[in-house]
Amino acid sequence: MMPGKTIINIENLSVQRQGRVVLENISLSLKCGDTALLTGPNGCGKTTLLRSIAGFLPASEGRITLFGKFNSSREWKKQCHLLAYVPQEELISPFPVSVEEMAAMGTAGLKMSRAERQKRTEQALKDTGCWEMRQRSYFSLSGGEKRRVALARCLGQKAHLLLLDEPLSYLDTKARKSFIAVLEDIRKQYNITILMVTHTENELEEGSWSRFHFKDGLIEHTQGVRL
Amino acid sequence: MMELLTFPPVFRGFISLMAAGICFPLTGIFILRLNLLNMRFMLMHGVMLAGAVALSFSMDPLLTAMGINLFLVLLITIMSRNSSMPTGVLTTFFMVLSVGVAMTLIYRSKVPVQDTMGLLWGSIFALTARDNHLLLLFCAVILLFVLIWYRQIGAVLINPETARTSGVNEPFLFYAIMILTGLTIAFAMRLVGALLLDALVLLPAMTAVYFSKSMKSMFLTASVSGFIFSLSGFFLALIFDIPVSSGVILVGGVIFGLTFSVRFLYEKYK
Repeated sequence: MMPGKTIINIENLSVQRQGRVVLENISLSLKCGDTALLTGPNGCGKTTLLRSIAGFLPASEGRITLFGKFNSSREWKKQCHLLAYVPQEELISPFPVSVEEMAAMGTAGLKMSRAERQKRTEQALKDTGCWEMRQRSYFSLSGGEKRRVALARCLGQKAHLLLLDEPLSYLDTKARKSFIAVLEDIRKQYNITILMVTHTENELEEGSWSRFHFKDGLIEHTQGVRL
Repeated sequence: MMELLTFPPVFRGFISLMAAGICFPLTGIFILRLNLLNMRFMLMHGVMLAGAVALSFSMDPLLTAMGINLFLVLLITIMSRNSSMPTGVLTTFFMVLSVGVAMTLIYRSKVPVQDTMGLLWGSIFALTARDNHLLLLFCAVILLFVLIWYRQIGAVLINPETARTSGVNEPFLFYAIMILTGLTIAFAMRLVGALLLDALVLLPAMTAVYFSKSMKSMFLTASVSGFIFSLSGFFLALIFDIPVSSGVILVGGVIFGLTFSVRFLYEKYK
């Protein structure tokens, strides 16, 4: 991706859910390689914003542009794999799936040869430190390992924009540090734009992340904070 | 005993049961994973409505059941995906409505109730050659669907939203899964009846979901278990002169119970 290119541009976005206004007049912009945190109290609309960007929730007002295309347009749908979304829980109820299969899901919607698919999945598993556990059942993994497998799925997809919804929640310090180390590595290696909802800020690399903080329905933007 | 297979109805029934045993559990996985148990129950009532319609208007019961289930499943899927109404509410509404319409038809057209209820029992030996061909064609469609879209189906079963962002045509696959589920219930009702349909569709899928560690092994285990349950159930039924559907559920139930117990004990005392 070209450095400096606008990846996300949100203008005056409002979103309603079941008649209730959850987001009102939100504007936000991220350029290629930017990394930002979405912070704020519970229920302020952080997850709603991520889901709106991903196209799961329609905007009642305003618009979201991703890589120069409206996120509800046909043109965007043809290249929607450029965005990868990691929900709080990837797989809620037990279901037999191996780590390798889970990571390969990132390439499920892309046309490519079997060899290319395997190569991409293998590289993604290695980049995230999941290669050794590829044969294991996904449900036998710890919380931190599951989050790293989710990153492997995004890398296999070759996404240029990651939307991560509270990936650090419920992880102990060691697992958080391990996840953040992998995230920083892939960010530097692939120049990926990242927007992450989190409550845990002080373990991220100093100055490399900016922050969008929800407060009283408005967003405060702080550049290069100690994150 | 093998000479029984030389009789065309028995042979047709045997072939149909084996094909259904291999393919229907694949749909069972969709039902379990996407939590379509309510939907399946509603579709069984749809088949009952189809029975009443078929008898009232002298139509083909299997084709009518396929048509009504297809209509119901598409209607509910469209409504649930385009509104905030929960699928459970919709399926319950249409289930009750199906029974109400069926009873009205039975009363007005003076169809004997037991004839309609008889359709709920099903019988693999009552299949016509055309039913048999339709069933084999449908089984081939299920197999091809799973083989061609294996990865994309997996992504939808794991998480429909992340599947969509990875470029999977999730709406198409979801509709296809719902249509296959509706038609599977229609065929399974004709084959083994309402009461034992789960032995053919769900029990092998449950066995697979419970004992597999990967998606590939789950789909394979479901098909292999379905085939083993059907084959053993068929011959058990011939040996002990019991209904084939009972034979299938007995074999399936015993195998599932045994493997479940062995695994439970292994995990407890390992």
